Amino acid sequence: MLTHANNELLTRTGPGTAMGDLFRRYWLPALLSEELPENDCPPVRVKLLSERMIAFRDSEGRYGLIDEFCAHRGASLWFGRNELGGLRCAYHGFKFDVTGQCVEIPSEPEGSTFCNRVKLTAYPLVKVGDVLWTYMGPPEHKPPLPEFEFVTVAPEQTYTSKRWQECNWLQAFEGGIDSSHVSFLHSAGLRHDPLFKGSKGNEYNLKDLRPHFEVVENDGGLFVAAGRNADEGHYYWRVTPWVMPNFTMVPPRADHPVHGHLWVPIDDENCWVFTFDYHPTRPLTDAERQAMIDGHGVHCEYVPGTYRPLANKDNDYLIDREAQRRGETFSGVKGIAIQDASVQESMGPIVDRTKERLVATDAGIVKARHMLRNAALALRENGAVPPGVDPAHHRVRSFAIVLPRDQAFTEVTDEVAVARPGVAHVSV
Amino acid sequence: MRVTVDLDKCLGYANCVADAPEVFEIPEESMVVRLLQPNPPPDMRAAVEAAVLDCPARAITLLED
Repeated sequence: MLTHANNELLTRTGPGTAMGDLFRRYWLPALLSEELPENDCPPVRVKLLSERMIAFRDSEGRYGLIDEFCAHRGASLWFGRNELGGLRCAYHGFKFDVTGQCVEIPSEPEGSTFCNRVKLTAYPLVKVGDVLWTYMGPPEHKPPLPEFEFVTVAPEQTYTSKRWQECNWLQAFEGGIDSSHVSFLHSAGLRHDPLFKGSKGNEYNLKDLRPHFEVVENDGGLFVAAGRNADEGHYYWRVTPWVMPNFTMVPPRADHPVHGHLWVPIDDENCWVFTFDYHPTRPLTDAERQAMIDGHGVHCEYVPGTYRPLANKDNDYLIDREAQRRGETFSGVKGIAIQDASVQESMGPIVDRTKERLVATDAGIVKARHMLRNAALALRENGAVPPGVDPAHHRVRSFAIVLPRDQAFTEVTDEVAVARPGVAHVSV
Repeated sequence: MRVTVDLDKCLGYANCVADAPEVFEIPEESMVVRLLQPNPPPDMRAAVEAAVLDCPARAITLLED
């Protein structure tokens, strides 16, 4: 349970809010690089942390993320012409470069220098992996670029998608550190999905519905570990790293690619779920990549031409009660991502956490809320650099492992929870 | 009957507040519980015992005087 004040604190990320200030100390995924595929391509609307912006790629391939609205009289630059090194407003021709600087006002008299004093808010936009990242905080506190393994492996080893989720970021993120729901909501997927099936770990997952949770703090966030009964005298551990504020990684299954998410606030009632899938030591097979594109695993199918899931709240997520009856799905909703979206969006735009009745398997969620609140308040009160800013904190991996019951999972994290180039992930 | 809360263990699950609101509360700006009545009257015993059982952090102890 959270008090109303703390629920507000953790869920509001607009300019001037405590959690908004916290998010503005990190590089955040703004869009996929596929959205700006070539120089002078059409600009893209981007809304992050309740700020409306335009992303574009200029004639020289430079990326820019600037205020959506023209400095002149507020027309949207989405209608702008992306040409000759800048974005020109379609209304009166004001032209802006990737830094937000106005470089031309065609109606001004020759020799006018007015445009030099017209500038839009702009944030850096940098391609790392298949993602364009932005930093929206004070320039003097800009950290080094992200080093999550999914963006540092070779392109043939990784795939990233994104989907729009119609609820606050926190309730979406909380699903990412809640391993307990997998045995219920996603149980059928463990049996049938081409990107999950065939793992010995799935059997343990499906047999033991009462995992015990251990949550251990680390420099960048948490390890959220779920232990389930394995063969005699052993536990099957699934260990999910959380890197503050919004990176989570699902423990792997067999030799399947390993996946995870970045949960990015669009505004207080919507978020982007950036979803990655990669293999640390080999290229994705054609079948794996195609399965991801087709929406299997943790990805989804889309309304054509958008990043809105095809199954969404307007069509009741295409729920199929007959498939549920046949045991093909637990909830009647198909696909891991949409199963998550359906229940999380059903909680409302911002779930009222004053009414919760939490249980022991919510330990990761409860601990994460404490850490987010503490980091936001420490930043506000003392300017403390929050955990997860340092790229060293990004070099983590999830893992799944069977250990003797008397061995703590923390005995192996130094060895197996670290991203090491060329070294395979630890999986069951 | 005497109640204690180990604040090093309390994570603010707050099931105790639902079970025995006369004895426990989470102050509006806090993430952990505050004990309102360290010595609750006998008629609250059932509610306090439920709070002890329902605390996932096992942070609440009920002692006899």
